[in-house]
Amino acid sequence: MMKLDWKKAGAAVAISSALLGGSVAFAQTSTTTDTTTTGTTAGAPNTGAGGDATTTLLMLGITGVAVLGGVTYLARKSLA
Amino acid sequence: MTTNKAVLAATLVSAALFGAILVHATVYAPDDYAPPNVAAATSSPIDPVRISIPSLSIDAAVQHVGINTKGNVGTPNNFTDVAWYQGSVAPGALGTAILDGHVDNGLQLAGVFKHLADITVGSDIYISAKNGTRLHFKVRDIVNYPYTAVPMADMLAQDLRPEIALITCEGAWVAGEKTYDHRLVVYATLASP
Repeated sequence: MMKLDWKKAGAAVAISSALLGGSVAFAQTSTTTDTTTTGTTAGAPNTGAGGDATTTLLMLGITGVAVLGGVTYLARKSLA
Repeated sequence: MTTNKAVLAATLVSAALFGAILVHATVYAPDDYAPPNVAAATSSPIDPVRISIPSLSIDAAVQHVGINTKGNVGTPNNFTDVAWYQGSVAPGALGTAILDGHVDNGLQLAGVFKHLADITVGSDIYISAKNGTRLHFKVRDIVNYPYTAVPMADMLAQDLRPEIALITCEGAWVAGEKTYDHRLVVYATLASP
């Protein structure tokens, strides 16, 4: 029982560390400076983010598993 | 005890990341946040606050945006609103008022203009102002451009008639650019004030 808990704890820490060190694939990340003037020729707007859906779902899955693993470990430890 | 603290910290960090990713993918698109602190540079027949396209069941709020740091027209900071580019004329003025909206969010769920491609020539578009004024436009043309060839300069230069151009993404995803490879542009002409 204890051995299994340690594995979960290690996995949670490893995944979280990887997430902190890695890049999170956000659809759009830059900030905006509003410098509008008449006649300014701007580029076409970027009005879609769905192409990153797979990456986003993967990141949600990894972080979700990490949360569940951590919660499970802590719950078992508190009950032990 | 140290292990417990480490696991707790990792769990909290993971939960925060999970929440941030989820919100960013489905609710908030900060790239497009452009506070409306710049007055429209042209005369403003109306200050657009809402757009309605009955044939597509669209009834959305209109945000005011400028240019983002990449030099592109800003977009709404969420996936349900439409944005009016303040560097273009206001709706109803001579020229083309540029409005845009997302086709989808980070989970590929529908954005406000998900079904814009289904619009047909002659369809009605209504834009409402804060003061209650409502302008009626009729679609005159629907064009699909490669994303590097959208005639933004032409849109901004054209001043023969009061028009609006609704823009959204279309086509295949370009991973390196994090954008779709085409833009759908719906041109509509003022039918009546």
